[in-house]
Amino acid sequence: MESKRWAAILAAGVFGGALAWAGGSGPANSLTLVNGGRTYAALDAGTGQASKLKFFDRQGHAMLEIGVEGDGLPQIRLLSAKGQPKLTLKVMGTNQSGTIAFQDSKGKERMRLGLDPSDASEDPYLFWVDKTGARHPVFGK
Amino acid sequence: MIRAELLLAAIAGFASAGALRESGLSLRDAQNRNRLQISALEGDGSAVWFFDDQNAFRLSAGIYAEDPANPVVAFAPPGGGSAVKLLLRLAGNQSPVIVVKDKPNSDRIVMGLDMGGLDEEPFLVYHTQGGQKAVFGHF
Repeated sequence: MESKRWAAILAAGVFGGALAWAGGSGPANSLTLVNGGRTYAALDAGTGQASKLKFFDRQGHAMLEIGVEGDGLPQIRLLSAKGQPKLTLKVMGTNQSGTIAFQDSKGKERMRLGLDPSDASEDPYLFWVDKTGARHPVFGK
Repeated sequence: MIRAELLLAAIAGFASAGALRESGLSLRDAQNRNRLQISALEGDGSAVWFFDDQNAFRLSAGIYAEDPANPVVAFAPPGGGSAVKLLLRLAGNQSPVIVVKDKPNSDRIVMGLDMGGLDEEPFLVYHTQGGQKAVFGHF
């Protein structure tokens, strides 16, 4: 019912062309903010359990993604203009523990903060990785 | 939570938010209060805002028009105006940074990768009344 309401409103052209929707004759599965031919943002229900809100730069690169991945786990990703993830907030592992990961421009993880994703204690940890690849634990493991 | 009584409305421009210019999408509650909006920004950015009962934004995420454009996620206090308590962003040479701010809007904890150095070395610093202290790296 809710989806049909969205679809009906969007199909009626309330947004004067600023927003577009897609979904055929059924409920909408994406909503895109477009202006002057430039796509600014998109709400998208993808495959599996994935659903995301994405923001795009002038070149059309997604630089910010907020949503749920196909495996059903929530994630926020900040990406560079080259499409590389730079800062990721997510839950991971058997404990679905909160994690913040920092990646450099070469795509290497350089720092991670979170709770132990595999141990029942879920003890906090923070480590960073220097330019030689050596890992430096600050606390935890 | 999007509920049935929330209304979907087109945005023709927001007088209360001077940075906004272009059309977008707004969700309003039964009292016609703006609760969420997605909109293009003046310049070249776009963002989503979540508002509280006082029409103050509490959570914002988007791309802000800089050169290069950089994504930002911001958490704001109640009635905080432009004040922000927590920032997740890319800065400088698109290095990832997390900033925790206090009430006067000063940076108190900053962690991320070096924004200027080629090695992109990680850092974690915090600020006390005694000044800046580095746990590791530098900022």
